[in-house]
Amino acid sequence: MHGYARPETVVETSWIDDHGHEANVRLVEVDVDKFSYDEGHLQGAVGWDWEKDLCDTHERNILSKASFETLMRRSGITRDATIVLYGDNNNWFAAWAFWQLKIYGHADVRLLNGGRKKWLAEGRVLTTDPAAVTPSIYDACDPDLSIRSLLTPLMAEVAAKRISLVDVRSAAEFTGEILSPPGLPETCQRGGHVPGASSVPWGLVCKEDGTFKSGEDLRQLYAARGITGDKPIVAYCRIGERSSHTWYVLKYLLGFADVRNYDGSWTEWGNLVAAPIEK
Amino acid sequence: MANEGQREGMIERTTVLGLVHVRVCSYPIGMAFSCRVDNVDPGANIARGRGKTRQEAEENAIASAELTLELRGATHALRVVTDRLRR
Repeated sequence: MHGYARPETVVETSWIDDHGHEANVRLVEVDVDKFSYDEGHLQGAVGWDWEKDLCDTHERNILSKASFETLMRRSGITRDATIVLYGDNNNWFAAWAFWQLKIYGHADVRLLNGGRKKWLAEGRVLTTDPAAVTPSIYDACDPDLSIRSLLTPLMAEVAAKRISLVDVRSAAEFTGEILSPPGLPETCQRGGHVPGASSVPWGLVCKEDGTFKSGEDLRQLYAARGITGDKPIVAYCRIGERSSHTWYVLKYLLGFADVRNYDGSWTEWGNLVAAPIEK
Repeated sequence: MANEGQREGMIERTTVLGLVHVRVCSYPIGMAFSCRVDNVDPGANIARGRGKTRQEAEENAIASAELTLELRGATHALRVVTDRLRR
C-alpha cells in the first residue's frame, strides 16, 4: 500500500468497518487532547491517557514492564491481539503508544491512517459507550531497547558522527528562536539543536487529511535532507512524543533498519551542563 | 481566516490568536457541537469548547484559548522580567 515497507502496520478507516468488531482486534484511542475520548470514540475502543497510562511520571521514563502488563491486562489485550491505535493530531500520541508496544514486543500493532481527524472528516460515528473489556492475561517481552536512544551512548555517537540525527521540532525550535511550541511550557534552559541534526518537522510526513504521504514522497522528503538509512537514525523532539511519530515513519513506512527514538529529547539535552549545541 | 474547508460536518481553519497560529476545528457530536483549538505546530491542544451550535462551540473554545494563551504569555513575561531583575 502506498509503497510502504511494512504496509500491514497501517489500516484505512474502511478496514475498521470490516474488522473492527472482530474478537481479536482491540481499538485504542490515544489523544493529545485527553478529553477527546470521553467526548466520543470508535465503537469498542479503549482510551489511554498519555500523561498517566503511557509514562512513569515519577522517573520521567517509559512504562516499566510491570506497568505495561497492567495496562494490557486492564485493556483486555492478549499477546496475539491486533491492536489498532488511533488518535488526534495525525496520530501523534498513537505513535508514542506504538513505540512502547514495540519495546515490549507486541507483534501486531497498527495505526489507523489519518486517525481521529479522518474518521471525523468522513462523518463516521462516535460513541460514548464504554468499551466492554474482559481483563486479560498478558506477559510482556523484556524491553527491546534497540529502538530507544539513551543519553550516554547518544553523546558518544554524536561526537563520532556515527548517526543521522533527525530533529522533528518546528524550525523556530530548531534554531533556538523559541524554547517550546506556542502555548506549551518551556522545559529547557537553552534553545537550539543537537550538533549535526537535520531539521525535518514531524508534520511534513502527513497530507492535509492527516494520512501519511506515499512511500516515494517520504523517501524524497528525507533524502533531500540527507536521511537515507546509510547510518543508524535517531529521531528526537522536545519530550520524545513527536519523534516517535517520525520513528514509526522511518522504520515501518520506509523500512530503515536501525531507527531509534531519543525520548529524552531536547528537554534532556538542552538542560545538560556543557553539552554541545548548535543554533 | 485562511485554509477554510468543510468535510462531512467537520470544519477546520487556521487563524491567529494574539501571536499564535492556531487551528480551530469544530464538528458535531451527538446533538451538540464540539470545537478544539490547537497550535498549528505541533498541534498541541490549547482549549476546547462545546455548544448547541457550531458558532457557540467555536466561541467558547476560542475564548478559552485566548485566556489560556494570555495566562501562559504572562507567565513567560514574568519569568523574563524576574530574570532581568536578578541580574
